[in-house]
Amino acid sequence: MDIITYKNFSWRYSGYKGWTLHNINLSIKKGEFIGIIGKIGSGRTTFCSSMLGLIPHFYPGTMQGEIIINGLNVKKSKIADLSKCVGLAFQSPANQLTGAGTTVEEELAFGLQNLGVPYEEMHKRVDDMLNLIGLEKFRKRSPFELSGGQQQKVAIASVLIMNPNILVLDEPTSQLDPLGTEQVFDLIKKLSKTGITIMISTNNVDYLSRFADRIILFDNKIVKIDTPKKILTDINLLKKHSLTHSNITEVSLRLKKMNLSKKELAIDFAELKKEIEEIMK
Amino acid sequence: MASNILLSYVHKDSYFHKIDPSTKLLITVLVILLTFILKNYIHIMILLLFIFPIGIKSKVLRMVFRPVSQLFLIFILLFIIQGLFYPLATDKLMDLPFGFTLWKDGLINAANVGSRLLVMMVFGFWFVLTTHPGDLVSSLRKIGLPNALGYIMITTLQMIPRIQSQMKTIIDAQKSRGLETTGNLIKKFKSYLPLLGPLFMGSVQQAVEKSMALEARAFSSDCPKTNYRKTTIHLKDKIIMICAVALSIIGVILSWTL
Amino acid sequence: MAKKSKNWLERLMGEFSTTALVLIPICIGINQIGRLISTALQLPIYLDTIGTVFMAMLAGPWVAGVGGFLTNVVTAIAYGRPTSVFFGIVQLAVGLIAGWFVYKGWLKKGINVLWTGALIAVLAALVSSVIVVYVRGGVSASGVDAVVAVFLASGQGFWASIISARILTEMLDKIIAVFIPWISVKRLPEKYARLFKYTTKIR
Repeated sequence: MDIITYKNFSWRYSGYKGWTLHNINLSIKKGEFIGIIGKIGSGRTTFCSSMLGLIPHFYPGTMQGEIIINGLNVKKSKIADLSKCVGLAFQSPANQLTGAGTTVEEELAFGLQNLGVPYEEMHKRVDDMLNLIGLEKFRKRSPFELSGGQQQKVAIASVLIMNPNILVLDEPTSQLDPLGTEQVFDLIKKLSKTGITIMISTNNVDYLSRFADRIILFDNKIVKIDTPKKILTDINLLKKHSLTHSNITEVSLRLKKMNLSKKELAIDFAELKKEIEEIMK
Repeated sequence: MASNILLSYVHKDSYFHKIDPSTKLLITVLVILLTFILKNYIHIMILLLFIFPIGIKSKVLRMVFRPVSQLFLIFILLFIIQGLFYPLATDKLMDLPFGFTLWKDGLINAANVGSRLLVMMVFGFWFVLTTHPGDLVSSLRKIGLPNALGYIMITTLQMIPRIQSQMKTIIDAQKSRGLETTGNLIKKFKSYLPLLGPLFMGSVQQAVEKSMALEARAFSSDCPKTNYRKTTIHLKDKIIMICAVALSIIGVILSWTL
Repeated sequence: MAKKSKNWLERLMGEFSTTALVLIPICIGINQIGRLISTALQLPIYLDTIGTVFMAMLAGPWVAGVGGFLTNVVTAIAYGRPTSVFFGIVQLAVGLIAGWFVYKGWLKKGINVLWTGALIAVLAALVSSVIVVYVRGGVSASGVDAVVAVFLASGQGFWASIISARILTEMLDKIIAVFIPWISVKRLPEKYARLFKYTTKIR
């Protein structure tokens, strides 16, 4: 069954002339891992916000069409109800810490308090979540004292703890250093094995090529939805949207330019290895 | 633990650290009310005697008097202004040079105001020394503090020490870049007021992102909220509250009838 | 979605949207920063209401009034200084009056920043004089005391001295406290400005 459906969805922020997103049609199956790419201003953040209902309920503007998330019509549902099935985390690690708790564990528990989860269950879920993100040692610390990567993990965990079946991540690593980026991607990798539907907006194509089932290329509309292989090796398409291809594809591209390989461009390490092995023969 | 979160809270294993924050808040508020209701400074100073057993029981007796040093300058100014210029003065104590007069009722008023300030400051400081803000908010929420107010209090309390250290860093950095912190006023304005502009822009972005984060955590849900921190009002809290209220009433009656 | 006839309580609660609520701690922080700058640099102004005025421009009088008052409640709790709660009434007044001027559309014109600042200064001076006399016997323990002393020595009465000293010191402070938030709101990106309903009364 489709867990996310967009039907002719368009959105314009009030005070702006053009459509930020125009005529979006889309369906995502349960458990899919979707990568969202596109240049700055291509509407990716708007798309991510629309899944939680921040669009149209939080931002003022004009909406056309329909969004169905987990059986809920976004336009007719409250954000608080959508937050039970959609977890949204975004760029700035510090700004999405609510500050509603003085410690990491309280920060994690905040969403559960708002949903009225009973005391015992709340503590159990917090323990489980701390275990999952590997920050048990920091449970009594102030979240504001953590590193950027750790803060981002806390931010992701604090929506994950509400048991959503869709996790939406809007550029979760764009403000992190390489170590923090790795920590966050390790966590996402772990999560992808739990069967949760993941929608991640990131231009880190190295990473997407390894994990995504499908990739959506945005430019105020959907330019293309396809497998990572089809999109991430289409060098001209990527270039047109100010995106880069992965290092592995780059190696493969150079081999091709040197006339060493006639195969299509490699996207992950296994393919590249095969390609090189063939050349070595 | 948690000393980094608030400037004043001192974690100790004492009787008063363990009782419910609302109980301590009630005691503090009663004392503050009494300083306004009691008849004169002698009666107000009797309130101060209560801080000794309470302070010892809280293991913070010496710390409780730390802010008193700030009152020194205020007291001097207070006695000068009130002694010489008390607007309702009728009772002359003596004539001073340059045509000034020292008024007896002015000095008494200064003593009233001064003792009130002293008692308020000591009890107020006792309260924050022994009460973790997280527990305070959680306890107040339990007796009906709206969720939104609880959120505002706890975030702000957490933010203040962070802001202070950040500002210190910024000001030190500006100093080391050679920007003025002393001397010419116009130079000071020129080098620091422009810093405030980006602060406001950043604040709006922060507000927008934080409210999205709150929405993502079901902040505006209608269902009854629960608490992660457990604070319970025990029988002993109730007894203390009743005793405190009763003592206050007796105190007021004694103060005005004797 | 909007019901046609809302009673005053519903309208009041409607002012406190999530964005407005989040704004309160942040603006309390701005008030704190203002105060820290002014003490660190020994400025003759306090700058501790700039956040309150900013709230008024983004979220209106009620949010600004409540947020202003809470500034002092929170500092009272943070530092254990109960007297600061009484001075919260000054912040409340500043928030309400600034918000009212914004609501009336006064601040669309730049020149009115000056008048608004001046009127807020007078009001703040009156309210804070009453509080400072009743709570602290007229002693502020700041530069104002010196100005009060000059007025007293020149033969002015007790109340007249305290109020005029305060109007004098508040004037520059409040004009700056209106100007800086005002110019910031004017320059806010459209997408953010739309999230705060009172910005349309200024821009």
